[in-house]
Amino acid sequence: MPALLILLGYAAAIRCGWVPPTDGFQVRDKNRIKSERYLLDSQLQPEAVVVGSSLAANLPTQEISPQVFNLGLAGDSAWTGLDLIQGRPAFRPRIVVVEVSDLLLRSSDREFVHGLVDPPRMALRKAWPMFRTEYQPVGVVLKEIGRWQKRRKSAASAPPPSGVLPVTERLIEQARRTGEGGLEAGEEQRLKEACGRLRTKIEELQKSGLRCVLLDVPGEAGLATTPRAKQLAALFDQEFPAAQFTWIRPAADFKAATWDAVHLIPEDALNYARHLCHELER
Amino acid sequence: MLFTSSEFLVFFLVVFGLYYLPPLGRWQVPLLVAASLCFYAWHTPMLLILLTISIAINAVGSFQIARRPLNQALWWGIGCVVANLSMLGLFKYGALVAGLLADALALPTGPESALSLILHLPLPIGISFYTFEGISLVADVLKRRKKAVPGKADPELALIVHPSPTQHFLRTSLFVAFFPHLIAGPILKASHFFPQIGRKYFRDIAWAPPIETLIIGYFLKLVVADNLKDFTFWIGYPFYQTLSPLTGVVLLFGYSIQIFADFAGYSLIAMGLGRLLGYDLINNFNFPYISRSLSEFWRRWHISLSTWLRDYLYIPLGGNRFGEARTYVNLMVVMTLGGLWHGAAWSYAVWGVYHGAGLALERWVMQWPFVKKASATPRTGWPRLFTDGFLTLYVFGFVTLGWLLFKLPNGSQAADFLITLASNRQNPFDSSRCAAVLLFSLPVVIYHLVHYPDSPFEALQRHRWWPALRQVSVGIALVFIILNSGSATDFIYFQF
Repeated sequence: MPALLILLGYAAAIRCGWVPPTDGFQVRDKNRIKSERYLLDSQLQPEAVVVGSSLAANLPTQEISPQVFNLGLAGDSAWTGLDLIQGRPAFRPRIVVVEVSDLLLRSSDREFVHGLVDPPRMALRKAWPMFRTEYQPVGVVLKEIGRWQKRRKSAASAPPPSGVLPVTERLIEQARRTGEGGLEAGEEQRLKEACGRLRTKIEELQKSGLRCVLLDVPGEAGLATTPRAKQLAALFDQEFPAAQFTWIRPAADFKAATWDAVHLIPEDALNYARHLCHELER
Repeated sequence: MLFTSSEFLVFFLVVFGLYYLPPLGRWQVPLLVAASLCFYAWHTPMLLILLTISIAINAVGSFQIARRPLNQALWWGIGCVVANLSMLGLFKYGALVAGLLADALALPTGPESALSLILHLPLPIGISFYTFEGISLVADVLKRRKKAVPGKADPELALIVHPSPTQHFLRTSLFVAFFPHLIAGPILKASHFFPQIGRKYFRDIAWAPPIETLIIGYFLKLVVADNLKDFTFWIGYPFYQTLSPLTGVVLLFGYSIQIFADFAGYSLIAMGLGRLLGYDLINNFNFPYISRSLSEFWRRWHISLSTWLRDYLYIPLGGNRFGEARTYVNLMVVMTLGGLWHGAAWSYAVWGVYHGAGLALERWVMQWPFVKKASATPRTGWPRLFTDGFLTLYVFGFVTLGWLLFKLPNGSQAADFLITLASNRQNPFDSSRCAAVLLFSLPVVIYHLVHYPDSPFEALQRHRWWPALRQVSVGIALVFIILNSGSATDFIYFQF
């Protein structure tokens, strides 16, 4: 009985708008919230959807253009994003932007996708928003704590963090050592197979009226000359030649900085997101 | 099959429904055995072979021990224990030993080598639990035989070993394979479980206790443990390299809470399910994080294992009966083997040595005259709370540091974690992540505090509002299970 009353009260509070939705605090929740919004919000009909891993998820496209929805999923890959797009048959974006990186080796998280597109669960979340991840009680409380902390800090306090950590150099050095070794045994073959599957998928999507654009998310500028980076660049050029596929690539003078040798620092992520949206408008 | 999966829900409802159908009343035990075997074989049917071999060894062995002359019974007992340990040794430690031999003697380990089969043996889920249970059955029956007066029937032995071999085999199958406890304990004692085997009636179910136990168990597992794991993930290698010292400490604290919630949650679910089927399983956790000494911790944590180690290892080795030096050695041996029981890796042995050393040191310190005098002096009020609080925090800190070896089994990474934290002073404190960890840990902290002996928190239980408060708390727990469960994963102790 107490449980039922609490549930009904919470559902009512959400309907009345007293409970603000959250964006999630950790990777799994952020991925779920993003995916649920894409699948369940019928008013959300973006022109373009970006799919990929944390590399793509790190790009704040929502700050540049509401017509570009970032369905990049940290810890995951483009395959899951592509499955989610197919999980919303009532709507198709005009453009799908697919991150192309060595993370194409990660297969689609079928369990994650099934948990979201499964019809009974989708219907439950549509009818009762309290079952959506963005309304999880602990997330709501944490968001309020975060807001309270921000209000306490004055406007004249420290500038936004650059993203670079004291440990960044160490991580870049570790990545450089790994990069010097080039692709691992068998990795090139597996990547070629993954690229083949992606070409097939792109063909399917194009047949259903979608336009596919490939996205190259830049990494740490200083690591671009490692054997591994060069091998990957050559492989993707060979598998997805510019004559047949539309690419969004960083400008030649874009010297990216990362905070962990992989993910762009906030300033560069914003700049690249701007570049991405601008390219899509063209 | 996870207790938290929808397939388990369907499985349990079907079993529960059939179990209490009046026409099937006399088939309850075979039904439970069949259901348990089905439960175990759900994902990997091949593993059933090993489980049935274990059941056969222990059923036949204990039957023979009960029936044969004492000198023959002894050999049967030794044979059964050796068979159980061999099975456990081969499947759990075979790869470790084979790897060591290969390194030491430069033996080939390729796919066609003799060692390849051993190096790639699968680890059957639950093997540590059911082999220990088999050993306890055999040892208890042998103990009772040795104590029995010749010519006089032992009623307690008769409760364990049925005169009919078929019935005894069936009852032993249930004892070993009873699905609520099969995968991760508690390790049952024959004298506690066998007398309970019999016909159960739907009308005899006391609903409130098992339902409440299940809700608390699922809350600890789904809401606390499964959510905390997404944060404590960052203690893993190489992610901990970006943590600030305080963030690392908070995450390690969170891991300590997670491991308790995961394991205690499982045990409570097992207890609740057992009660619904008419069987009382022992409580495996007694609020271990309120312990004021390491020895108290081991009387509260994984009680069935620590009891097993005490009864079948520590006491046979001599316990504390042969002087202090021998006692310390026994403690070290028992805890090291207890650590290795958790996994075939040196990190678990180190963890066992760590706890053994802690227990030995504690015992030694307790012998000091001024410590003995201080312990004997009764304290009340704030001095007592202060001392107890300090001791509780010390034990919690000691135990939490040990859990690092479970999260980072590679010893060098565990050491690097501590060194990196000390040197990462410039890294920013992750307040939002730490707030989340502390929020998810809060229910476990409260759960422990209200059971802290002789404290104002424990006094709450005697308040007239306590029954209502308890009901509301269980209701809130149920709400959080529905709305705030984390992503499902295996229970941590499944890997042991």
